[in-house]
Amino acid sequence: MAHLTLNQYLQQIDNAWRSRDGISLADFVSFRHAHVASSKLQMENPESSVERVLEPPMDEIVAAHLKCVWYVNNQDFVQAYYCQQLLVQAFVKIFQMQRDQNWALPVMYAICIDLRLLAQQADKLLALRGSGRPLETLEKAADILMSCFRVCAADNRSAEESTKRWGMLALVNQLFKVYFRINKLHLCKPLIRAIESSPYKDQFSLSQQITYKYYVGRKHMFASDYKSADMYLTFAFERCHKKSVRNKRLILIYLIPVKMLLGYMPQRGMLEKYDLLQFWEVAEAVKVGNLELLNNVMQHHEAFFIKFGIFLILEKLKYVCIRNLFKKVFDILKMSRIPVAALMTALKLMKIDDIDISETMCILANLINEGKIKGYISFHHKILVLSKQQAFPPLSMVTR
Amino acid sequence: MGDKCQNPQMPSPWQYPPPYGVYPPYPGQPYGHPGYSYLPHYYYNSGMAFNHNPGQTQNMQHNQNNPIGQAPQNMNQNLMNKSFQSDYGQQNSNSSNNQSDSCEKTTDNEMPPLPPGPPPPLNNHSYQTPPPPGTAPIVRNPFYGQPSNAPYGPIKFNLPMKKAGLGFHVKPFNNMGGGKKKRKKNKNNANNNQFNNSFSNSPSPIPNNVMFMNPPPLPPKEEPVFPPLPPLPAEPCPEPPNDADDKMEISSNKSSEGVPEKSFSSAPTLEERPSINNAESLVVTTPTGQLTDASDWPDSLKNYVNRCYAKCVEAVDKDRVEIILKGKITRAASDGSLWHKNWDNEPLPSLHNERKFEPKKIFQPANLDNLGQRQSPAKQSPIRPKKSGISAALGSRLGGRAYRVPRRSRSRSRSSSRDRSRSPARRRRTRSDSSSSSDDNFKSLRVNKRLGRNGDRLSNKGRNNNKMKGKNKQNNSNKIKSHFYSEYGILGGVTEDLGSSERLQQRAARFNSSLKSSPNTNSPMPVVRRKKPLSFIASMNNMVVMEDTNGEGDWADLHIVGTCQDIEKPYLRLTSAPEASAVRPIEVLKVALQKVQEKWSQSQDYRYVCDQLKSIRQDLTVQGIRDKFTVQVYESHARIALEKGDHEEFNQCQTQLKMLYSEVGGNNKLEFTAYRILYYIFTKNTLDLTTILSSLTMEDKVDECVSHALEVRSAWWLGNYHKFFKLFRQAPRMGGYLIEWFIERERKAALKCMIKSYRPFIPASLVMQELAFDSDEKCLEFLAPFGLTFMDAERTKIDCKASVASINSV
Repeated sequence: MAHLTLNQYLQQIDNAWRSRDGISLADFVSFRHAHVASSKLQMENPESSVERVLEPPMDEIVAAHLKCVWYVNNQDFVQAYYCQQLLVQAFVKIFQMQRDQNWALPVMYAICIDLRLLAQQADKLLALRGSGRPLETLEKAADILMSCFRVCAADNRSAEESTKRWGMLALVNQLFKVYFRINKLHLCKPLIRAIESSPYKDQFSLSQQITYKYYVGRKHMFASDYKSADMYLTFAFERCHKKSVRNKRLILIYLIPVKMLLGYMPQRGMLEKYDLLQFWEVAEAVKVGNLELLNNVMQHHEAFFIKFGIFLILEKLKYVCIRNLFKKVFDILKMSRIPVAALMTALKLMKIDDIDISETMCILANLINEGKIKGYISFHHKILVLSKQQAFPPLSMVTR
Repeated sequence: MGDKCQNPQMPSPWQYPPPYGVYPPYPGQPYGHPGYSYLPHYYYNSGMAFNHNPGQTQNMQHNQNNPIGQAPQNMNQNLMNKSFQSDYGQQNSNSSNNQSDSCEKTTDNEMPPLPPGPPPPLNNHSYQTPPPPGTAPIVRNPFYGQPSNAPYGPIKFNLPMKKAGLGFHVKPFNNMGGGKKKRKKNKNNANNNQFNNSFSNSPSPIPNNVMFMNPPPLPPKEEPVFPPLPPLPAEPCPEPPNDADDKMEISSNKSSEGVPEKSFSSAPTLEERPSINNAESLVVTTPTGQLTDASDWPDSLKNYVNRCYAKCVEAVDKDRVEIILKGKITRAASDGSLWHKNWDNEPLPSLHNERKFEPKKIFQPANLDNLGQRQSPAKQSPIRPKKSGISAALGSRLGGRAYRVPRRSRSRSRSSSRDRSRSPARRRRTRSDSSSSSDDNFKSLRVNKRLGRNGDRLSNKGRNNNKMKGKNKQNNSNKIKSHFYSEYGILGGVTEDLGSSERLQQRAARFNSSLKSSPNTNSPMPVVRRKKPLSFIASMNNMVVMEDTNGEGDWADLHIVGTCQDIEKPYLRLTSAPEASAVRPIEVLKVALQKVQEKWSQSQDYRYVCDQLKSIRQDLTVQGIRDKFTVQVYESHARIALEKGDHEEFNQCQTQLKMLYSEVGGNNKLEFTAYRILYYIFTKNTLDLTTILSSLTMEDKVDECVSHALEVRSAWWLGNYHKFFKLFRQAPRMGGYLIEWFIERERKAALKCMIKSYRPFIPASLVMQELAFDSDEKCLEFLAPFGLTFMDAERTKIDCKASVASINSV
């Protein structure tokens, strides 16, 4: 493959095109195939040679691809991106005209992935050059992906086996990747609706479903809907192929905080396996109600947590931690009426120095409001009156 | 200027093709043009080229008012202004008598100033480049500040045309009259000056181009591209207006007619010939005087000149040779080929008698042949001559000595135009011409723009355009409209030139494909044959070009420099590129900002202040000014918006500031970072909050404002209302204003939390204290809408249990 000549290459494409072999065709226009390394396919202006062999709709795509290959091998990702964009645009036109056929879906998958990756590279390059808005190219790529998506989503007259709607999920996943990168999660909403209402929702390929669930889970997490987030992320984690360790780790990075908020602490072995021991320290601190340790750990791993966007979520663990701390106070005092001052002392022990009665009551109010503690505060007496049974219900039982 | 519509802020009518073709030419129309003079009012709004006129006139007046005095060349400018005025006066007054007087006066005035130090063409080049290729308006600046008369020529030129377009049908005639007079004056006045003038003018074409378009960076020299064209001995275009200003004026006044003629210097020269005739030396020296001394010329050139003159038999020949030589030498001097050109090989100009036999090829002779040519039927075709003339004129202005027009048309135009203007018998024709001239105007404008845009391709384009024009000329206004339309379309900087024909093909291809697209069973896809060879390089380049033009980088080149001196200016949303005359330069803006700030501290009139600040911001953006002052403006506006709770404006400023700080820095960076954090809390944008967190350094976090904002963030995120409101009371600088934006929301949440967790009651005083109310009254006012239950009549204790239901429903 690596020594493929131009004619062989074009011949094979022609064959694939004529026999509607989407998978082979996809290979030949993808960057994940060895032909891109062939020195004989490096051409700055491949148009005329391609045109000689291939028929019109296809030649444009192949020529654009070869041009793109050339630019990539010359490290000019900005130009490469434009080639790829032209390629995808040309493809969309063709694809749209292929009524009742969806054999070209693999081609679409391949070129869309390349489009996004090239856009990322182009943005990196632009950032290095100091020109353009950050992630500008990626946003443009999203528009192109959207045009593909529209073609697929609009194909609702074809029979189930030939409809392009099978391509929706793959595109949605690509779009998710873009939107998460550019911090525009609100754009995901219509996509999610489109997928959730699709009759093929559960019949897409598992790998695509996993990717989808991963992103939707993350989205729910950012929207503080931890229950749904747990559901989606768990689905993704459990079905993710066991050899995809990296993917599993990524899923865990979001699943673990969600689970901890819901009261499930991770096991050390699992964390070790996926190299996520940062969470172990957090979990330990939360479990024993060591607020001081928790604060330190959070600070220590701040960069890591912020990088993955889970710092704020983990911060919410503070309340879980305080709940555990107060539970200890309760266990010690063994009274159902606990003076707020006692709780304040506990907090002070945790090196929360600027705490006062009012703030303690405020924290208590939040805990009660969230259902983590059952009881009420008597302002007049400055005491916490706990419920007779299950004053500290297990977190997993707490509805919120 | 050309492309501005008079009020850029209007929801630009330009975008839509004016209802051109829709309206059939008026039946009663004498002039055969689609409703020129009859144009109803809506035409003005419909985005036709005519619109320019009003705008321009305004501008002109504006400029007159402007403190031009600052510029070094007051004298000339004033004179120029006068001339403008005179123009207007002429146009407005119908009676030729008064006019003529005034005209003469004006001409007198003008004459002297113009001829005096016209800078060599090269100077003009320099002018071209400097103005950031904004839009037409940009050009204005250089324009006014310019010492040379040259730039003015163009303007006048356009003005008249526009006027005609406007539908002052009567005026053209009057103008004509004025023009004639002037010209005569001219002759009498200064034969010597003529040449000078013409030279000075010749450069003008270039600036013109610039003016009209919003060109991307112009390669300064257009001419060099064209090697002196040997076969066409003298390109008359270069030295179009012999009688510099007068000519221009005339042309402007004449509107349509005038245009073509001016462009051809030959025509004027012819007239003046008698005076010049005897003096070969004159001919030679004139060009030299300006460019180089004749004595400095290379010997080969001198020889060449001598040979040329040797060839002359009649006086007519001499004249022609003179013209031709002047053109050649000027061009050579301007593009620097004067010295290295092989003059020995330069073909000698063909002479009158030689030419007679091949009139088509030569356009120089046209001058000489004026009379004869006139009569030829081809020339007579009413529309054509003008157009060609115009285009040629433009070409010459554009700097295109290089500019080649089909010779025929040129000669025609020349001859016809001249004659027309002179002979009363011709009048009728002229009229019709003038009416049709509008078209020409459009085209010409267009050409200019294009040229400007595609700097390097200038010369080529010019040619193409001409050709195209030629075609278009015969067409009706429809075409022209499309021109216009596309013109505006181009604004983004895409080169439309790539091709109308290409486009057409594409369009055709589209239809073809749709027709053929019926499913083809054999091949996976219907095969649609492409009409042209596959090449997306063009489209790619296009994309990239667009990118560049839109992108920050190249925008910088398109920025204009304003000339407006108004301290106060209302904000109007731009719908097209602004005119320089409507944009204030930075010095004025600085004063304006100060004024606004004073006004703000005095009157607190937010609407006014916001409006003013927005217009300042706009002017900055338009001019691409991004420095400390810009930061100051945005900071000022952000603060005021903060104070007045104008979320939208604050966000705009804040976003800009973020970029500005990274570009130019600023002392208040951290303060505004803190505001941004608070703003994200306001918008509950946790993702961007995380992004901010990741961008803060340890030093940043120590800053008073930032650390406060971070604490607020934490307290808000954890629902720690006690801390949150405590921080609210301690907010540094203007943070408090921002927190106030969402304080109600947080109070509500806190109240809910308290009511749910306290039993049996909460004292209202606790609420007041915890939620940072200033007084009991305010607290109760806040509590009122929740329908809470109080345990006592004085409403000091909130019954929590009874209130849960009502607070839950809020």
